[in-house]
Amino acid sequence: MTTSSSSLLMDVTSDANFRAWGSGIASGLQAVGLVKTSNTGQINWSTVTRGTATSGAAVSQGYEIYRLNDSLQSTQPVFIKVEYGTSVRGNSGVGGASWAAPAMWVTVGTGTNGAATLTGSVSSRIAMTHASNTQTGQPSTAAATQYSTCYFSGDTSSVCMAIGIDTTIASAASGGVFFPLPYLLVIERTRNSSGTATADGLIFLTSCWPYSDGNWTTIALQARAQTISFTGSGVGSLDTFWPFSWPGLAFGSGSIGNTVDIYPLVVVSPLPEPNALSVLGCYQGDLAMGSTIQITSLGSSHTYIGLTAIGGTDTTAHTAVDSRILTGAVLMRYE
Amino acid sequence: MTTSSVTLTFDNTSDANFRAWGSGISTALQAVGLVQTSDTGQINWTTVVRGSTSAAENIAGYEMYGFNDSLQGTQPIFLKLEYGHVIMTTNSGTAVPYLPVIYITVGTATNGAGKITAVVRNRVRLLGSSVLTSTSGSTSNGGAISASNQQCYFSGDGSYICMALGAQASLPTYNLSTGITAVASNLPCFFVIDRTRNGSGTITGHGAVTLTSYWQPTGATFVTGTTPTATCVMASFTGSGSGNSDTYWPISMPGQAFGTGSVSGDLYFWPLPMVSPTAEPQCLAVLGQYKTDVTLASTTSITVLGSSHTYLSLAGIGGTGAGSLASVNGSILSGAILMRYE
Repeated sequence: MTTSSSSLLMDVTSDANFRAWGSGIASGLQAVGLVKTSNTGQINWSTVTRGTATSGAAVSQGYEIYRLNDSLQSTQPVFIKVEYGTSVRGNSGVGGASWAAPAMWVTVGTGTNGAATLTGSVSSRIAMTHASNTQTGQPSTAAATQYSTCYFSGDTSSVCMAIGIDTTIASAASGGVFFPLPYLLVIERTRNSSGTATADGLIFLTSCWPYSDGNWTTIALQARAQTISFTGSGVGSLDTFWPFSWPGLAFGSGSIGNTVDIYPLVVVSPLPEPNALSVLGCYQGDLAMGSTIQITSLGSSHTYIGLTAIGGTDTTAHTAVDSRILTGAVLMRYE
Repeated sequence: MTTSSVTLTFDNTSDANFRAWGSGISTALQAVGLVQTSDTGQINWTTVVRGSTSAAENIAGYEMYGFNDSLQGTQPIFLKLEYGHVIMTTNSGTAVPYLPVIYITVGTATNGAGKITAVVRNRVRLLGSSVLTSTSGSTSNGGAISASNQQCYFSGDGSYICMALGAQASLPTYNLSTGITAVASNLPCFFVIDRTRNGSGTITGHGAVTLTSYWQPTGATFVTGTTPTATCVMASFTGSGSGNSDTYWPISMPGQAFGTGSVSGDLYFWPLPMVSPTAEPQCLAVLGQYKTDVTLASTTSITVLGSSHTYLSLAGIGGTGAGSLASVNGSILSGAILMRYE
């Protein structure tokens, strides 16, 4: 497995900043094992522009197509389409619109047409962006000044990405515009009880915190989980939470004496499968943000990094991947 | 271990009808192992009246029960049930109808006079609704307001209790005053308390879980809401008090996934994890399933915590389609439960 970490500026107020942000993510994904395909029409990070403002919309400026790179790719292929763009905060009170935040979309499929389209069993297209809306008043054109910590990991059968893992949520320099951080992305094949990837299916998990109101004042978790089966059942329903085996909010901590309870993510294909290896659940106060820990999962010791206490240490922190368990957090495989 | 299957009519249009469904629940709870305490002031089912007829929530009285097992002397569990009704008003101010209400409180001690003094599950509505105001329909309240018979199941053994009210395929109906027909109500209603257990299913003194779920009526015509009103609270007997209240039953289902646990001739079910706050073996009283996997009211033998146990399917309530009322998780409406029934 391979890891990569970087600091990215969440800003698209100029073409240069847009390219730096997007290419930074692209570099991270490729550094940990995703292979960029030869599909036509993919983004050229030297020439792509941030785009033309469309008031109150999130606009894709281009895409990349990746694939997994393991022994199963030839028989159970997995392709990942990543789109990069801008969230435009519209402004009906002042002429013109401003580009408020970067935007991403991810789609997973089992084939491609060699160009921009995924084929076969195709997941939902998941957005990691602000909600599209308009707001009267002054636009915010100020560039973000805060760099966000980003982690990537992968092992040719899986990829994990965590953008914006900081104690302070990144924001624009003025206007109080916060970005939908963190973004989390996990794509992993099913595994056997020894952790070896199998041909049964894959899981696709995303998480972000977009604005949920028309005045860009309320941020709410948007978590998504979906399974693709390679055994004839196609694409599962889209869930709005990551299905960890949490006992609910419970007592708010899995730390009991000298032990810390960790919770697995339930996987089916639709046959019940061993738990996901890429992510485990914990309560956010149980492990420090950015710290690594060894956990035995599927028979072997693996290194995980804590995606805890992001933007705070209470229930307003952006650690959850289930809106009913705001004290929850994620451990991401990082080795 | 004991089970009870009864039909009850949840109708508060008269004192007699109120006594019939309330005493029916009371009789069934005691038949499956709960012991009524000697707390003073408890409901007398031969004399209790249904309460006020003005628009409001009216609680007519309570009963207090205790578990009946080897741990009751050291880790006691008491549950207080309150019975009554809520009245909806029309926009003209005329009150209709009388929708039955039940509240429950769970704790580890009582004051002997109807108050739970060491609460582990705060008072929560188990059945019923807030007072709603109708904006349509007749102003007349002269007609009979009646509900249809409902299938109800109870099970327990002195260390756990399960109750399922309104567990049937057809939606319950209420005939309101002239011009208004409510096709649904707040049924089904599920209620479970189970102690923590060891890996062999034997009860331990670590804690207990309380689970409730019903469907909140909404709108001018008192229709069923679109998601269940569910709660889960883990209680600790090892010094951590009560856990937070969840708004769903945290059964470890893989989300909506493929909508079925039926794979290649096998059926898969899902456990409910328990903590005290130490991680405990799964809850024995309930399992999760998808709503089309086991026929409503059929029983299935399933090995859980090392032994074979009989479970009753509560899938298919209100149908197996989009209108199913079997879920205990608003994010997994295709889910359902199996209730221990032996």
